[in-house]
Amino acid sequence: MKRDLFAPPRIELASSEHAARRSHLLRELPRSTERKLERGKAAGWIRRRSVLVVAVVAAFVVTTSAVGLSISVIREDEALHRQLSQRPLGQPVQVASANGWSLVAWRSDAGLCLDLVVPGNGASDCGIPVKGAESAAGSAAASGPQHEVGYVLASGENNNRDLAIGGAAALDVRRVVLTLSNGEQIDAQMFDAPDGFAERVRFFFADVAKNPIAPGTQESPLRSIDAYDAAGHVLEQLSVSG
Amino acid sequence: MRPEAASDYEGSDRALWQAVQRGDAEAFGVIFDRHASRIFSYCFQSTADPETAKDVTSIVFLEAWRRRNAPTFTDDLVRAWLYGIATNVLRNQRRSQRRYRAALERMPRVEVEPDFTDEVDSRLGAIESMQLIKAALRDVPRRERECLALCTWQGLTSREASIALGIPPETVRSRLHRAHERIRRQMVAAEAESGRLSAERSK
Repeated sequence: MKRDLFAPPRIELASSEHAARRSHLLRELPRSTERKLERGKAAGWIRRRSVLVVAVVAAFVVTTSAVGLSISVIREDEALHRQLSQRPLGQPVQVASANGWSLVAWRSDAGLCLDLVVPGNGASDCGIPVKGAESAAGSAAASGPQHEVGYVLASGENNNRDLAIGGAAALDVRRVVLTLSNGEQIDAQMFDAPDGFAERVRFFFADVAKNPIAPGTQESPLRSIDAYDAAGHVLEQLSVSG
Repeated sequence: MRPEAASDYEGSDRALWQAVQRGDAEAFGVIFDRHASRIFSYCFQSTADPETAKDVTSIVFLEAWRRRNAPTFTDDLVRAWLYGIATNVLRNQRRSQRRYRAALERMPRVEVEPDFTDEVDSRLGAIESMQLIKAALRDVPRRERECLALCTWQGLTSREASIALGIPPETVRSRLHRAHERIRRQMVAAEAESGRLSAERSK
């Protein structure tokens, strides 16, 4: 059983079953296409009217919208965490933002969630296992080990900075040093949680001018994260496994 | 020149998919031949039920055909895209099965050839093991389980899994790391418990 958790059993699709499923599939394809065409014709008038409706709505939005970047980022984030299927506990908050990037956090029944938004990309994750993130209590995230730091990472064009790393840290952590795969070390900027944010954590962010990893390769651009306390003692050296 | 028969399709999945996007059903058949077995294996490992896994596999390919014009593959990533469809179908299994119920009902019953007892035993053993594994992983969050199933069990790279799941490769790695860590902790706890029980028995 122990071994099976990492290498579970496989069963093959019998050749007779494969052949039957294949021929059934090929028989079904024209039906699928026909249905699509019928729907397409019927929906033609809806589409034409939809264009008009969308134009009217767009004009309304453009003329009435006075929503700032931070709010739109949070809205974007709300859409993201609806996709992630965790039940939010409270509103998402923007922890920090500058130069087009933004770090957003919220609490959910699956633990602390983070969104790192950079132009053209983003990363989102929940259940960040960081000490002090108490919203995870009772959830699966709480059953795993808790670390001094947890992170999300996104590559993207961010004002000529093409890698962004953000994360949460335990309250004791005063300095976070990121070691990239090429050995370069970066001191992350530290941020306190905004007032009223109910998790006892801090946050960090760093952007990198040049991603050390070429696009399409499999390695991680991040090798490790070192967390230090106020006296400069190492609290944790988190190795980022590939 | 457009290939005429399945045997002419020896190129990459990407080239095949271009033919599929032109409506070439035979090219799609070759895609099925190349990937159905792995998709079935993924579906079986996720459901622990071979019959459901077969139907889900059919749905995955019907859905792939329906959405054939959506992806533009810049690389040979058809496989990752199919795993992505499979993951969505598995997440919304009931809804997908309802949607394709009529198509599945038209699936002829396959005459099962008589199995050797060893094969039956091994199949039943696999089903039983998979049910135990599913139960053992019930406390692992679904998003981590999906990364485990795609990367560790199916051997996808983090880039492929990131395409399948629609998340950055780094997120795949961190979820996978957490899943492995959680499982190792579970194993250690289980070993400690079994050691404690055997020590009690030997008293």
